[in-house]
Amino acid sequence: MDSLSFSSESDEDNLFAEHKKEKKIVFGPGENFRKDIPVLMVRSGEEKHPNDLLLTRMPVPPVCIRPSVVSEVKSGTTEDDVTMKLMEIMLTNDVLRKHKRDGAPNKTLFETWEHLQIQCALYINSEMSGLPPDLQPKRAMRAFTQRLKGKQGRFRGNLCGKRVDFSGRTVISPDPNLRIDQVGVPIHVAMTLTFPEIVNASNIEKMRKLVINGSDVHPGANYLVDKKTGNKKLLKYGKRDELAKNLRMGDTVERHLDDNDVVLFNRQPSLHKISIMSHRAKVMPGRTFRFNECACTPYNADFDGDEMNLHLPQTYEAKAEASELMNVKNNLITPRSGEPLIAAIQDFITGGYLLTHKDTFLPRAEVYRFAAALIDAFAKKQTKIRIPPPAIRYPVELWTGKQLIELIIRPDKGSQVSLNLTTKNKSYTKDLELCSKDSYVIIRNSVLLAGVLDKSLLGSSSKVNIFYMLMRDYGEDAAVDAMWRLARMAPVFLSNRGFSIGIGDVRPSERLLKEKGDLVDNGYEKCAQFIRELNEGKLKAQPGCTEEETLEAIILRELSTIRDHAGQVCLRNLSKYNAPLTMAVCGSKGSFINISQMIACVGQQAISGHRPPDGFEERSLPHFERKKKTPEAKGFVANSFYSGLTPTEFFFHTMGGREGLVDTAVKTAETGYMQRRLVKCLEDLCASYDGTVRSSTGDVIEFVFGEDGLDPSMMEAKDGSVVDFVHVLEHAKNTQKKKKEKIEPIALAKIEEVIKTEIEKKFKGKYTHFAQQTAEFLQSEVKKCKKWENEATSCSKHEKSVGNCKLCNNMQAYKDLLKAQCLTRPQLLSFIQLCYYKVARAITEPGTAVGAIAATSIGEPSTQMTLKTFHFAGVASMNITQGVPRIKEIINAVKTISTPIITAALLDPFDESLARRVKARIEKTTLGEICDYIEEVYLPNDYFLLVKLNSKRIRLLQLEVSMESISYAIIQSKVCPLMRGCKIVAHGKTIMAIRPPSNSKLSKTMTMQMLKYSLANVVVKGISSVNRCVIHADEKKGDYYSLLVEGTDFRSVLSSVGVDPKKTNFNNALVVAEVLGIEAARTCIINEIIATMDAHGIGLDRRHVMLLADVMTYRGEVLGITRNGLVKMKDSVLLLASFEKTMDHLFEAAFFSQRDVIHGVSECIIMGTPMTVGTGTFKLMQKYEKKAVLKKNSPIFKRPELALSL
Amino acid sequence: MADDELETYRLWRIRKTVLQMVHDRGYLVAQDELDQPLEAFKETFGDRPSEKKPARSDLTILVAHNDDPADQMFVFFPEDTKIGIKTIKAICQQMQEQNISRAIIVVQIGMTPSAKQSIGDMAPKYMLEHFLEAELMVNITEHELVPEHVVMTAEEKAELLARYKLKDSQLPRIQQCDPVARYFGLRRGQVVKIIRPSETAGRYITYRLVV
Repeated sequence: MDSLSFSSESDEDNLFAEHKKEKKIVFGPGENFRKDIPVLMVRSGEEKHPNDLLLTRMPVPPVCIRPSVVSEVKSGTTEDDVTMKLMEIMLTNDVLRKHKRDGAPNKTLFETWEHLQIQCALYINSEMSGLPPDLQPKRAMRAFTQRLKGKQGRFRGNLCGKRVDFSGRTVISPDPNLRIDQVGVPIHVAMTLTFPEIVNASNIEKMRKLVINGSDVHPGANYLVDKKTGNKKLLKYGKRDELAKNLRMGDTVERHLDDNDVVLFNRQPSLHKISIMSHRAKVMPGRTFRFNECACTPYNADFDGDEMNLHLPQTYEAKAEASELMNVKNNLITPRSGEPLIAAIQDFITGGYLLTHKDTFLPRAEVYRFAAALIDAFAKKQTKIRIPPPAIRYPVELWTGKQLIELIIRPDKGSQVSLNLTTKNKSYTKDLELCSKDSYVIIRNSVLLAGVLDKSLLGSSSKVNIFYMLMRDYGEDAAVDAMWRLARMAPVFLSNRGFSIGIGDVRPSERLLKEKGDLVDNGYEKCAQFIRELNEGKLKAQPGCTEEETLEAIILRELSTIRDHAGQVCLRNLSKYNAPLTMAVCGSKGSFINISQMIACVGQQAISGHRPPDGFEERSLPHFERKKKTPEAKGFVANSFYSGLTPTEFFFHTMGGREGLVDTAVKTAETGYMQRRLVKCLEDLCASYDGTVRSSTGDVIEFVFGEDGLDPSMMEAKDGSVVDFVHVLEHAKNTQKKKKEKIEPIALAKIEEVIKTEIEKKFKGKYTHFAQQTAEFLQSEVKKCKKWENEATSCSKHEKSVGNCKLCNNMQAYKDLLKAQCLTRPQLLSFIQLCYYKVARAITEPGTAVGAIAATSIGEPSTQMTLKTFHFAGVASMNITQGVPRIKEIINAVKTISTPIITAALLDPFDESLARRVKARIEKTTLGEICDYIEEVYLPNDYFLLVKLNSKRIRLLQLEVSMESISYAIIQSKVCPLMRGCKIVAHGKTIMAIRPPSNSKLSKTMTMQMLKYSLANVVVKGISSVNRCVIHADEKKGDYYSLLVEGTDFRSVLSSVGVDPKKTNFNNALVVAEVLGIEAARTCIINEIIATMDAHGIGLDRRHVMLLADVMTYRGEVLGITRNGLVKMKDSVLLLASFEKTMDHLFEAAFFSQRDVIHGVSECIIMGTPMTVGTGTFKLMQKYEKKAVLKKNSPIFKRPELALSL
Repeated sequence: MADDELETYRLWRIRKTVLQMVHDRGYLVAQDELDQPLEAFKETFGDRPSEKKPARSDLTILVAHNDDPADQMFVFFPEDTKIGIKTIKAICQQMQEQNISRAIIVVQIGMTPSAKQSIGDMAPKYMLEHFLEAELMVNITEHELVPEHVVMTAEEKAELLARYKLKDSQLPRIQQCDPVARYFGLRRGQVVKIIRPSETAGRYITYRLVV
């Protein structure tokens, strides 16, 4: 920037005369550039010239940009920072002019000039660095740069996020009487939010009524907009009757929000797409927003004072899109894993669980009362509820609770819903439906035959949820209605039965106390034993650990078993009517650990995965003796919350609690930023009509989304595949109506052929992989049938079935029974039809914003990860970073990860001795580790170092070293420069004499000393970067050995003898990319993210992870989801500017005259245009005749008459 | 000095990988050479590398392309651990004499910057590629993480671009210095077809443009 223009007016001045003559110098070197040579700077546009980069005129914004505020307190006005700076510049300019006129000394002149220059720079950026301290601005000022950048700046604050009208916010509260997709809106809110309804023939009467009602009565209207004149009339006062009478078609009535209006409901933080959903409004008295508790999970809302926002879409198109795409009904499942999120919670689960207990019997009056709860007074069409016949007729009529479940699934007689489901629930033990805990659930034709319903059947995140099954088999409405019925019935049942918790629920029995006391005593004794062993030096260290570490690990394990056992004892002793236990068993709230902490024992308190550290001198708290390692001195809380904690225990407990609090605070900030970066990188990826996933610029990220083109939210099976074959078969078998004439199963001889042809007929060569899976499943089913076919039809006495032999008849009947299990033709057809339908339905729709979904699907669960950083992966001594830090590491594509581990496969994984040999080859072994001593020897005429190797140790470690290789290693070593010239002589098999080089510049003693100390560090075998290598035996596969190498030298491990290079893996994607190429890096990223998520029990569809990995690798190198990576992925200036380093990107864009084609999501949001994903994917093409000729407007600066004389 | 047995083993593995690589690029290599066991290697070349049995120069390979026998390629194993411009000159000399335009240099430790520069300077006329011995100890294309890469012809590439209505800059990319790209000696503008086993779809085909 150059501010010379201000001072170049006074022609007479000597100082500037020279510049005047050589005007080019004033403009800088660019003036001499030839116009016909393309310049790299200022790229596009033929008229551009480097000179254009020099500012010759100050941009002065109009007053509305820099408003002056009239102060009420003191006299005068407060001017904007920009105005102030401008005033300062003008002042300095005047001073400069005055100096020139007065002929001030050059020094002053230049100082003022420089001051002017700096003022002008500060006008653009007030945080400019590199200013001399006396010229730095005294207080923070908001210059143009400061207005643009940062979270509150123009880009992120005003362009990417705008304030909206027609919205409301208030506290939320629960209402189980509302439908799942309804939201209760207070009348006050309903009368403030309006919708501009256009008057037409069908609604004119209604609109008249609304206009008459005016703005103070609820179903009314606030304004009336005349079609012709466009005049807006307030309906609070005036002659509303007349206005209503004159209402014409095409007028707009800004009517109040009313029942069944489509509204958007949202709770921050909006981490995934289901944080904002469309509901149907239900205007109610009161001051809170209300909704059914079942919809809590997607919003992550509770009712402890949470507030939520409500928006009213203002056009019919917006209404239609909102109710089609964002409706609660259409978002019952999370696209993260395809599991249902909207499902019964807390009391509904408890209610459902207690209701279905085997010993729940209900008299007629109660059954009728519960059934009456299912009547919806607001329903458009009332249905008949059919009460099933009582299970016990005599001496009193009694119904089981299980019978009421039928009413929940299908109350209406005429309903077609026929749910069939066989599954285990949470606490299943064995013996199928004879399970001792009644935990094998069988539902046939919507009737619950066996089993209790618990969280896995009613709650969220479970694919055997009955509502989920209803949704898959009979559509969203069936599911939502059933859920509403449960929400109505469960509270009624529960309040009738009574369910409460008291102090008695957590009072331990005498027996429990005794058992717990024994457990604790035993455990303490064991720990004391270990500590004694350590003190006596008898404790055997685990591989790769010191003795202290080993002790910690052992004690930690011992203490956690105390807690577990105490918990088990406590659970055994509790009555089955214990309320916390009931809740933990059915999964509605709380866990077994919570119960045992209340009743039996709180357990070990851990701080970052270890026992509390010694914060005081050699002890954790000053209440204990120094160096005490006993459980009670290191944070073991033997008391329960009921019995109360001792003061020290209490301190330890607060230490653990504090860590939890800090973790949560840190985690929210960290994951929030991660989410933002993920979304910025992936937001513009969408599935296009040819099935590819492309960015807004048209770059192909994936040729088929998720490699098979299926939508992750439509995955029905628990293992993440499209169709749950077992369930579909069950469904097909049970719903295919048995006709009157008995349909014989397809002959087994023919069946394979039939399956093949039918599948071919249906699939017609599409979805080949899936068709093959279907066929495979059917074949395996047929095999089962075949087993039955070989069943004998007669008893051992007869060869052929004889009519009057009882045994024969039994056998025949048994066989017939089995035969009935075999597939009939209609069943088979129905099965194949269903499978085809389901897979065809699961194809990703073109326009789906797969990128944004993937980003939120990865970001959202990371906020839920407990920040337990370390997790023991099999081997106790080797731990891997987990949780948020690990995800962050992978996503950022960090070069040096915190726990690099190479999993080396062996050529013969069953050979333990090979494992030991390879370990010796890989692990770093220094000379110091394998020798008995290194001694200096001084003789009268000679001096050398004597090294004695410990051959026993070498043999034990199976090191492949010889005297020769060791001497070679010493000479080659870079530990000490002296070693290069050493002369090494071997004496016998174990002793070597090392003579230092004679030409050393150091004194002889020094040389000897230096050599002696550095010799111990010479690596004689192994890879120098590998500190640890542990043999890992996979217990699942028997004696299956592999090596876990802690180090980064992947290539060296790969080429080690004995290692199977084909199956050796590394957890650092960047190194993998370097060694094995970009494709391998992609797979590595996928595997690592999935492994981390799995470790935390978070279900995540691999398609999302694949997309993320593809984005990170599609440029040919591993790019992190950071600002550096983003710059390489995207080229839109607006997107980059709205992310980070706003000004850097803007300056650069100006410098190179960059263009932005406003195609991505961020750009479109900034410009306020519809974006090119989802319903904005397609455009209407039209022929148009001629290009309109637009006259080019010349800017004001180009007009010669307005130009300054320079 | 260092372990002779280990050194022989290394040479055997390196040579094996080189042969596989040359074979995968479409040059003619005899099958028995491809799966030559260590013993046979010792027999033909000797097992005392420290006494120049085999010397690295003994390993030099010359192969001809399957389709065009005139298209020949050298594989050199220079003796010096760090390759300087001299070695490169000598290699070029040899190539010039025999009128061969392609060669692979197997480098022991590294190359001087000027040597690297000279390789770049000769690029259009003499195509020299260099690999570190450490890189060739393992054939990376056999690794479970590395899917099958197939080099596409110009026609196939044009068809692909037409099918998806793409400019070639819109394809996913692979770098020229990517280990797999170097293995196949890919050049800028070529497209590789990558066939990977897929957990969701059984098999999945993607493409990458060499940049």
